[in-house]
Amino acid sequence: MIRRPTSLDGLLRLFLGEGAEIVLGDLDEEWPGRVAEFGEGRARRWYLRTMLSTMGTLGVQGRGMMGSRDRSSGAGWVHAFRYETRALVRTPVWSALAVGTLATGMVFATVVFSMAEAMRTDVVPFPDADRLFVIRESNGQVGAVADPTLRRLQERAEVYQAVEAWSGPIDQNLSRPDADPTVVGVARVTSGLVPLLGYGVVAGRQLVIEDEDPGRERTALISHAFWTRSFGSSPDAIGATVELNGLGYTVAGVLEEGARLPQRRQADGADLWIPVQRTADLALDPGLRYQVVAKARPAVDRADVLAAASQTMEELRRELDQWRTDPSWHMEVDPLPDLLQGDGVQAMAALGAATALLLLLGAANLVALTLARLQARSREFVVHTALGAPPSIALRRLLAQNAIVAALAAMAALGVAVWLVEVVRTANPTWIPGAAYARLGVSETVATVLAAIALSLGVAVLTSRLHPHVQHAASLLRSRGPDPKWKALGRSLVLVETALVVTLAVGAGLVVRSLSELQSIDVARAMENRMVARINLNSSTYGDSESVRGFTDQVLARMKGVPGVTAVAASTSPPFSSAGWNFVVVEGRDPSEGQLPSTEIEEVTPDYFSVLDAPVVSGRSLDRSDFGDGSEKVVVVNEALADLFDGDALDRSLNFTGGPTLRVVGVVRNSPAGSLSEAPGPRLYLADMDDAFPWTVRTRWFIVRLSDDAPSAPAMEALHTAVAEADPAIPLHPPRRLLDLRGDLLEEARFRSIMFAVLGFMALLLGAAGIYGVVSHTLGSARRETGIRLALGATRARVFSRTVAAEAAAVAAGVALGLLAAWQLGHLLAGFLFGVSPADPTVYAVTTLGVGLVAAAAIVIPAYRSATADPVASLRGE
Amino acid sequence: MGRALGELEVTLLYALMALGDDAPGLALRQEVRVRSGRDLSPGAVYTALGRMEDRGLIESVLAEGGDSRSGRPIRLYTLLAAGTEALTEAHRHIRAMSHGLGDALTADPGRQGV
Repeated sequence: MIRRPTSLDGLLRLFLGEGAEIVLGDLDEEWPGRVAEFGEGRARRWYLRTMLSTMGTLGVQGRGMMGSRDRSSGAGWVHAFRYETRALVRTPVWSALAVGTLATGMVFATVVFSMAEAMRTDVVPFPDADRLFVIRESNGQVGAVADPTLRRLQERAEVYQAVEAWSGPIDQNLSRPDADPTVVGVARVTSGLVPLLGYGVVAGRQLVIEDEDPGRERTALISHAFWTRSFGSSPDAIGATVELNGLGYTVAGVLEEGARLPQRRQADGADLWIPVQRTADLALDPGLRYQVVAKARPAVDRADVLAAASQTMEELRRELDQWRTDPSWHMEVDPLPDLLQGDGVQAMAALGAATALLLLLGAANLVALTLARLQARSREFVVHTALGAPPSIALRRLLAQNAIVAALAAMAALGVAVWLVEVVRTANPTWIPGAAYARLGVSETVATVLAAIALSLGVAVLTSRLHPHVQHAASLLRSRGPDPKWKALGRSLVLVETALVVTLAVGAGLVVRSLSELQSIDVARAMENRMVARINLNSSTYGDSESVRGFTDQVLARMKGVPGVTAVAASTSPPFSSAGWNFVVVEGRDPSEGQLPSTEIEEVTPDYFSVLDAPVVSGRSLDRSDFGDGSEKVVVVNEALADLFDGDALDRSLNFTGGPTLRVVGVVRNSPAGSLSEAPGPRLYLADMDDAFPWTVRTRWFIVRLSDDAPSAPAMEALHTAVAEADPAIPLHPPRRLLDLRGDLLEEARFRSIMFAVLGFMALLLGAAGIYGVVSHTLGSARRETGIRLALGATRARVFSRTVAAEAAAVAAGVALGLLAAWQLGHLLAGFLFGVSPADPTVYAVTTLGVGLVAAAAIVIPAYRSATADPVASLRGE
Repeated sequence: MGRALGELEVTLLYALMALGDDAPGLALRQEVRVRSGRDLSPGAVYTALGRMEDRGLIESVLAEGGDSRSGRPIRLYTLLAAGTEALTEAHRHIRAMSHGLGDALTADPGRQGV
């Protein structure tokens, strides 16, 4: 005999409770007849159809099966939802906690995963990004690729589909007939780079290989933004001539909107993309250096790319005289997405880990809250059951309750997430590459909402199974005390929640502490009331650094005495940014031993440190007497560079391999440079850049410090005039507030701190609620036991301390576990921390204390209530 | 006496009247299927029966089931006086409305309430 299918029986029971048995009995009886009549296949389909339609009608209407008494017991889903909605409204605190728990997890999951997705797709918008690799020649320091190497790489067609290169962008002065000179970003690119990156032109043509020929007319592609800005999007731009540092270029085409070079920093975009100029001769210009991006053929992996590149280097060593003879030269290959996403991957990993912890905490919390609710309502369920409702009523009620909670949480979470993504996009922190493109991902949102619904329904099913009251509702009246299984589960919940809270709170503490460290060095105050503006001097007029300094001094002299200006200085790189670097030989360190250290280098004028309020820790700052020929060559170093000396750095010497000996006269405080993701490295300030580099640096940044309430406009007008008077052919880049230029450093730190602090605070709040829920549940189900103890003469103090001790042990174990986890996960945060070690003892101690206090409150309050309850009332209550 | 009976309710009351007291839900469905060819789902049938029980037209008792239903309980339905009255009223109404329409109602099979 063919047996009746039973796959949906359980579901029907869930929907109808005991009434399902009547329907199932009917089906049992009917099945043999249906098989005989239809055959097995159709009979099975009949079973499925019948079950589904029965669940649909009876499940929703909730009538019939158990007779008219069903209605008074509240069976049926519509009724359950109505009833639970009212119940949730009556207990606003519990409802808010449950909704908040779920919503918090959902908000962070949606936002963090959406941002991760934005990072993946928008930071690397190039086609076949997984096949793009950046190739570099390196001797320990990350280097660029020289021209011969590029040529040879381009010949390896069996490995690479294409190898293209670019350099820059660098600022150049651009002049056009009938227009003021302006400063533009100029990148030099190989002719195939634009197509490799997947960009087209909206007007004119792409570059072709002939454009690289130095004998031909000089051509350029212009960016869409530059086209709009300078040519009013006119088609006449094609064929027009622009002049860069005195050389004419014909505009060949206009790049599509948003086209960008495959590099991390996009702040200085390229306005002009001009072809590199190379002769066909391999007897090369060693000065030509490129960034190289290669598109590997399909099925060629990173190892193959590296092997081919290394082979190329070996070939060149054999072929060319004196080529890369130092054995430390080697090739480096990195997937382009890795480089572009940079430490953003690390940041997202840290945030992702924190979010995962918060989700776990949320799940544990929801279990605790649902159990506590079940405890509070067990009497109600017992009464319902006694009145004839099926035992599954509790499950149905819990499902309805948690479904409503999940729906409310989803709505709240979506609202907050939309807002939060807007905040992220506006703040655009540099440590989240692609934050500017952040948007709420549809699939991430849907996945989160579904996961939250599944989680809360799963929790409802789980708790109703765990709870003895539901399984044996009637036996509750006889029960002696809490199920030992439940006690163990309760303790583990407390332990897990405490551990999660500690882990998150330590992470948050570290980040927040890092921000306060950062503020203690007064970067924020050093940025107030400072204006910066840059100039580029062309090489034809300013051939040596002497003439550059002459120009700078003229401008500085004219700026002195301008009303509202309290100090003014110039430097070769903007404040709080990275600068050019070179290897340095430090007195007392053997230069042949391992790698030479490197340092960032800036040429600054005497007032530089006072303009920026940079504290001189020891020695003196640079002064007038340090400038000019004949004076002794001296430098000021930052603390990171001073640390490279064995002992005190003052009056010790250093040099750049082969350059003059420089004496250290002062040490200044480290200040962040470029990004807070990296600890400040060695940095050196000198009066004459010639001592560090064999070429002339022609960019200067003027830094103007204004008195507190002085308007910036007149001072900047004065700077314009001063520059024009010194040389009318030199354009001044538009002045900006230093806060606007490098305020992202602070924004970044603030945003990060707020994000982690909120995470930590939420964790603490959720954890406290969860522990409170678990403890009051445990004590609630032990009311009878407590009552008997008190009635038998136990003192309240003893009952109280016994309860507290048991829970406190779980909390202590949780704290220990959490500290261990935080110590492990601290490394994820190491990159963001400024001036704080990931194992900072203060943070660990304060967190332990804080979590301990909160947990203590969450335990003591219900324990005190339980111990002070009237024993007679407790027993009668049972 | 409340609102008029729905079509499904009338159908089930006819079946109950035909089967007599203590008719199981399954038997009612089978009676409908044999007489009219309509294969009603248990959900629809028990919902309608529950509604009529609430209105006092029928009553039911729960009984133990036999081996053919794996010992699962069975609910047995009995027509009450109010049910008989309501069905009579409905039947009279149908008869009155259909009087003299015999040819038209049977001419087009598509109009039969199957």
